[in-house]
Amino acid sequence: MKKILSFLLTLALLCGLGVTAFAEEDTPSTKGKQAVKATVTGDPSWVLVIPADQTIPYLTEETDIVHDDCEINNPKHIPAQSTINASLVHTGVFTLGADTSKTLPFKLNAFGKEVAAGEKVIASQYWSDTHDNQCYNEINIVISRSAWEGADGGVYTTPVTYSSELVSGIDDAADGAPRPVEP
Amino acid sequence: MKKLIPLLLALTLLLSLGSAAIAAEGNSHTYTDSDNTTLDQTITTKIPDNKILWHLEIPAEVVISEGGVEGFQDVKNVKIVIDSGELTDGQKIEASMTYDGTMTMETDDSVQLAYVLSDKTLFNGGNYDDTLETGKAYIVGTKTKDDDTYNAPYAWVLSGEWDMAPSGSYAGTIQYTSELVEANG
Repeated sequence: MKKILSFLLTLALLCGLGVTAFAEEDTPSTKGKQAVKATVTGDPSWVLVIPADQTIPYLTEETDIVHDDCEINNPKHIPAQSTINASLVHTGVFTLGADTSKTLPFKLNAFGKEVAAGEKVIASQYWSDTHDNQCYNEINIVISRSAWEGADGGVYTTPVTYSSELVSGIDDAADGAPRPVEP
Repeated sequence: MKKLIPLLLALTLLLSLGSAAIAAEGNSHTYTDSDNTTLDQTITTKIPDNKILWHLEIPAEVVISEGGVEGFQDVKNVKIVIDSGELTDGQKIEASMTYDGTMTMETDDSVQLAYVLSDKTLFNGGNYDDTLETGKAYIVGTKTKDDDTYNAPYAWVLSGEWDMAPSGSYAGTIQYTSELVEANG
């Protein structure tokens, strides 16, 4: 009986030592891993700032209208490999406040190339991968001398309408110039 | 109550200044992915009722003689010429000028020669006090209903700049513009 008891006690001791040995295998290591997790929530968003209203002096034939002020600011949660395009369109004519049937025609040029009325042209871009924001400032309004000469006196206005959208892909023009946007 | 009125006036002024500052920066809108909001920049121009037309007669090129301040040259007056219409009381046409102070070598535009323009009325033989600031607009001509006044500058090159410049021909540009100014804005 004593032998059996002694055998069982030895067995129990051995088992106990084994459990201890297994538990101690990870503890003394000088390396290890710990998982870090986070969840980002929220839709993509950004702020578009457009240039201030502007007055063109009488008989001025060429006037910059963007002046580096078309900015895409405070981008949040913008997916990788995507671009925010800010675009503008114009009507091609100023209208007289007192009589909108009277007009003063103009051309809008972007980087020396004429942009037709109603055609969208990119005025500013933000690229998600580089966090780079590019404003295009070589956008100007040209009113010819003959247009000035042909218009009646009075105050004329025209809207330049800006919009922006998130598009997939890094639309980074090699020449840095704004391009017409596909309708 | 009397103390409150100036305080309220000051507050109103500050608020109006604040909104003017915001307007100067243009409008803004916070977009999300599917937002189709548009923003308008309004461009305004005013054609005077008396429909005056004019042009500038820009003086011929000015050639600066070598030799420091003693080589200064009169840039000569720009002229405001009325094509049609007449200026009324309170209207004037102002011609202004800017320059960048740099000529470039005609055969190698990486080589530059600096020059200065000096206010003719202040010119005292090449003192920097009379030098016109580059990039800044200066009125060089004013035409009113009854009078014309012009004030072209002198152009010259510092002696040290002549000495350091490689031999060759250099050219730069003086920019002129003009506008109709009405007393009532």
